[in-house]
Amino acid sequence: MAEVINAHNTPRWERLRYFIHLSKKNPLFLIGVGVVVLLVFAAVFAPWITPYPQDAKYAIKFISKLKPPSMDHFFGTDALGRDIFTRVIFGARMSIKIGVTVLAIALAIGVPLGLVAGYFGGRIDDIIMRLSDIFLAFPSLLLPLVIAAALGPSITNAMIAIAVAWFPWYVRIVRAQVLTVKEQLYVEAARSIGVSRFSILFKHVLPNSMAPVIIQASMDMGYTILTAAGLSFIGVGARPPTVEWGLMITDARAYFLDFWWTVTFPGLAIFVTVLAFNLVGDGLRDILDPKVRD
Amino acid sequence: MKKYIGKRLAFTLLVLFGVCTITFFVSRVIPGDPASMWAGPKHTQEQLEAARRELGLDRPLLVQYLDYMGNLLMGDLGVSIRTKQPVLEEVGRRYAATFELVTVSILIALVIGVPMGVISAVRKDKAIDHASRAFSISGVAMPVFWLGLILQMTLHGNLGWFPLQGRIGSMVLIDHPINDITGFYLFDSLITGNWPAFFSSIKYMALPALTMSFASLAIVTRITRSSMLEVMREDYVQTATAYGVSRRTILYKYALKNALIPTITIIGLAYGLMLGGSVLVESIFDWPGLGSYIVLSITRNDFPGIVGSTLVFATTYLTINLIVDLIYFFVDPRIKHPGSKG
Amino acid sequence: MKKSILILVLVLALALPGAVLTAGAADRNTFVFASYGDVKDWDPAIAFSLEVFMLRQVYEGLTVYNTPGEKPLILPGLATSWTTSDDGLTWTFNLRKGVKFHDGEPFNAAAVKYVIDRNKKLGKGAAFIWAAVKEVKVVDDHTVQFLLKYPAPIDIIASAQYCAWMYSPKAGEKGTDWFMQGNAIGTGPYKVDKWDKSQQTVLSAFKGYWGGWMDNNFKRVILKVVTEESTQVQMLKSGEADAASLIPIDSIPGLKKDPAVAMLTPPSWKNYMYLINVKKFPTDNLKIRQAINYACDYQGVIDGVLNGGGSIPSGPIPATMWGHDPNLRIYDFNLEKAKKLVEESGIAKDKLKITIAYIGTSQVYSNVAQMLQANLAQIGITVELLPGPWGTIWDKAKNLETAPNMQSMAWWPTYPTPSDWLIGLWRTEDKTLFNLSHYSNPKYDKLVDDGAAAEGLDKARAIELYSKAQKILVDDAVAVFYADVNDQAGMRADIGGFIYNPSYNIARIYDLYRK
Repeated sequence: MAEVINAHNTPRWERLRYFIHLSKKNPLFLIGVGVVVLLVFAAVFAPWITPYPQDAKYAIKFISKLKPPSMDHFFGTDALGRDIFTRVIFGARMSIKIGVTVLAIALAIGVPLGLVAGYFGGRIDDIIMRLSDIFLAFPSLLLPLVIAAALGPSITNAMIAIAVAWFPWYVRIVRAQVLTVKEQLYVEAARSIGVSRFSILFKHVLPNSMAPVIIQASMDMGYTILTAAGLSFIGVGARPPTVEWGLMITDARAYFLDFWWTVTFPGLAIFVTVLAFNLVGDGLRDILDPKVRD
Repeated sequence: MKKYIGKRLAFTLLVLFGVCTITFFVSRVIPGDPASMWAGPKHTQEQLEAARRELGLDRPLLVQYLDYMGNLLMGDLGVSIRTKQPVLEEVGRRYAATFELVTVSILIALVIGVPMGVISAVRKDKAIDHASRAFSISGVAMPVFWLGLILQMTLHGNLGWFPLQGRIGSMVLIDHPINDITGFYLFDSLITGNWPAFFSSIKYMALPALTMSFASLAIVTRITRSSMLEVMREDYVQTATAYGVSRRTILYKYALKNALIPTITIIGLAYGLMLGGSVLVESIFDWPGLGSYIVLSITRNDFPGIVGSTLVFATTYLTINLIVDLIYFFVDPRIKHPGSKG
Repeated sequence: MKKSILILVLVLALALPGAVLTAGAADRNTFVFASYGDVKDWDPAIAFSLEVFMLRQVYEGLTVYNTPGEKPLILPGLATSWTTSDDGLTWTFNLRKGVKFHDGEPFNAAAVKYVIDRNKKLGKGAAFIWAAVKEVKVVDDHTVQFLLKYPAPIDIIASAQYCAWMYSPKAGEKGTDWFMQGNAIGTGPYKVDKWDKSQQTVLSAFKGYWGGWMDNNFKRVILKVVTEESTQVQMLKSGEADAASLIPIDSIPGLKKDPAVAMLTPPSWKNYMYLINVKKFPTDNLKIRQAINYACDYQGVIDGVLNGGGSIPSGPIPATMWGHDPNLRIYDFNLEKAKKLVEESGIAKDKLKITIAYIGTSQVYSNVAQMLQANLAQIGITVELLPGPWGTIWDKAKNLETAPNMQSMAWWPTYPTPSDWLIGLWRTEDKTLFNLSHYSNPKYDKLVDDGAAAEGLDKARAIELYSKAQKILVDDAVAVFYADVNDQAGMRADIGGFIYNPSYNIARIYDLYRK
């Protein structure tokens, strides 16, 4: 079934058709995709769909500070009088940027290392795995936290910190998959014919190892955004005037009990976004790897 | 078996050494001068230089590193630059607070999550299953610090049920002090019969534990459900049903036991999640634990504090994982557990 | 499974009534103070921060600075009277009789000498306030003399909230490490009962206090560690705390409306400013500095950020401090003037980039910085904001290579004198400490040095010299002085006896009572 999608010799368009067919059977996956599409739309068209686009940068209007939600301001205003609805929409830009950047870096480092470790084995494998183990010994937020603090507060540094702390996960995943694929018949066949090792690596092993990576990456989109928000919350992530959801929450932390809307809506935005990516990741797993399906 | 444990321990020590080294050098890169912190908020130039000498910061970094590692091997984690107290004592005290909170949170996750997962699997596709699936998917998507603030707002602000912060009531701490045996308030007060302290601790732990356990609760529910479903499809279960063995017996004797195996693995993951989450949750609730300690250490360039707490965090995490692996080993030698892990 | 549910229900059933039973609020005779941090430096010779919350209850100094406006300027404390010689180099203090330390030791001249000598020898914290003292002489048991190197107002210095507390010599002998275990031996009305680290410090009434006890005095004080500002506000509202130490600026209007809370925002000796780096491009250009001064929305800060809790400054010295010159103010909020000055500076548009550093966790600093960033954008200056913890940004600012163009700063005196600002912030420093404007002007240096020397003898002359010095600062636009900040004193409405005093960060709880 899903072997059709993974199989090496089914024509591409047929694989896509089958993929779409399976997707339709999975409503949660479609909802997730829908929300993600909405998110990207909001991010791209933010300046045009928001009522106060200037509030995303330099506008300060003390006169309208800390107003509760109303028809003028759907999500109310913050301590500098800026429209929270607008800033939440603009925050989507930053969140997508964070997710994509972190994953790009993590994959760029992790996938090659995983390939090398898994395919060549031996000494190289040992070294790479030991190093990964050291990184993975830090419980979740800790390593990004210390690295981000060392680099200095900025959303860019936070992204680097998270990517550096997370790439070992991908090393592991890719390596595990490579170990399985390595034993497959067609790889052995190619080897016996005399195809070069690197050719096998890139043409056969890599494409067939990507499924779990794709699944993990789509789940991680959400976790990246969560982690970045957490770092901003502590103060080692985004700083003003960057519009980032975690930063919005921590800015309002001191007085949120009196002004509930300042914290509720940015948090909801994070929640909905992460949920959407989780649904997508879940759905992908169902479709691409039926052994784990319910 | 012994060889395996021996190998794992040696390996763990190696990894911890790596963790220490990385943390030491990274925390020294954090912008800011620790001598400045030590000398005080409004110090003079002479005080600054004196502080630098006192802390040994005028020596080359490598020397400082070797000195630190040497002391570490003898159990001396140095003195906190932020509080001027010995790090070992502080970390030990705060660690008890965090470990207690995390363990209670794990218990909540298990005590509520496992039954919920089982019910959900047994009543698959009914309303309760949908509800619990919705919950488990959203549980992990929730930003834990936001959840903490929301709970504070609703359960304290609007309803007034739970206290806002702290580990125990102020007056209780004065009138019914807890004997410091393990550092775990619940345990210590329980075994000394200190009921006011016991109940006060539970009350103060409610919101932080609820916040911490949320994501793990979701995961436990979900894993229990899916592994129950796998097991229930297995041949031997089908056979037993065909033979007329009662549903309840099947549930408890066969299905649940095997379904719990992946749940045990999740405990390791959950501990890691929560230890990391403590960094966010403890500050909100003024929980005097290691999570808030490391945040304070990081924001005040307290590198002994940073390395000390990271070491303890990593050790805990690795130890838990080792224990989980061992349990797995014992629980699962002969049984072919269904499917592959996700 | 049913069993686990049963256990859960059982635990809850036990916990809930227990929870209700132990709803233990503090009794009427206990004062609960929400402190934003735990006590760090227990040694009174070293403490220089929020330890004062504890120090002021447990220790006493020779004198007490009276509420500004009241007479006399200085009140007796452990000293009942004092005189000074004509040349101002000898101060003689007559000490109160019959005072004992918490450990039973008598308070006498020998104790005073011990404390001052030890504080000077340790040289930590605020020890610099005793810099003028050459020798402390014990005349007799209750008379002590300070022999000075140069004239200095020892009566004022002795009232300082740091490094001037009298502690038992026996305790001093045990050393800093002993203090650091949570010990304190003073003469004050309260003694330390216990220190639950990171949670609270408990003080109780010292029966042998020389001031005596009345029925309505507070017999116990709890200094509770509450690091979250929002929590402090809630505790104040609910009565769980009788006073709070860190109330977010935006919660203050709400608290003022709350009948159960007495939220005061009295004028203080604190002011906020941006120190402009005069050695770093492009703020090394006078016109740019002046432009920045014109781009600050001063009224907006007072109304919009501080919610009315402050006033527009007249210069470097807050209006509440002697020596301030009310005629100094020259910069107002005028974007047109600012734009013109930027053009006159002749600097290319794309080179007009500056950095502003501030303490990231402060809402006020953050909001003012963002306001300034928005306004400067309008006159063509791009601002990069650099928030961070104090330790980090101070370090960077001290070094010219890493210093920002503008450094957010709050300043208040260790004891009331304009020289604290004028010398502390702008006098030439070989190795930069607080002169984060990196300003060096020999003419200015001479004025403030002479002023400080004159303070002890001829206040009028000191004021005159200080005025000249301040004018130089304002003309050179070394800083943006944007607010004389009001202090915040949030207390339960049923607490009586509180009179705000800017010299001390906390009241003497002994003076308070519950109505």
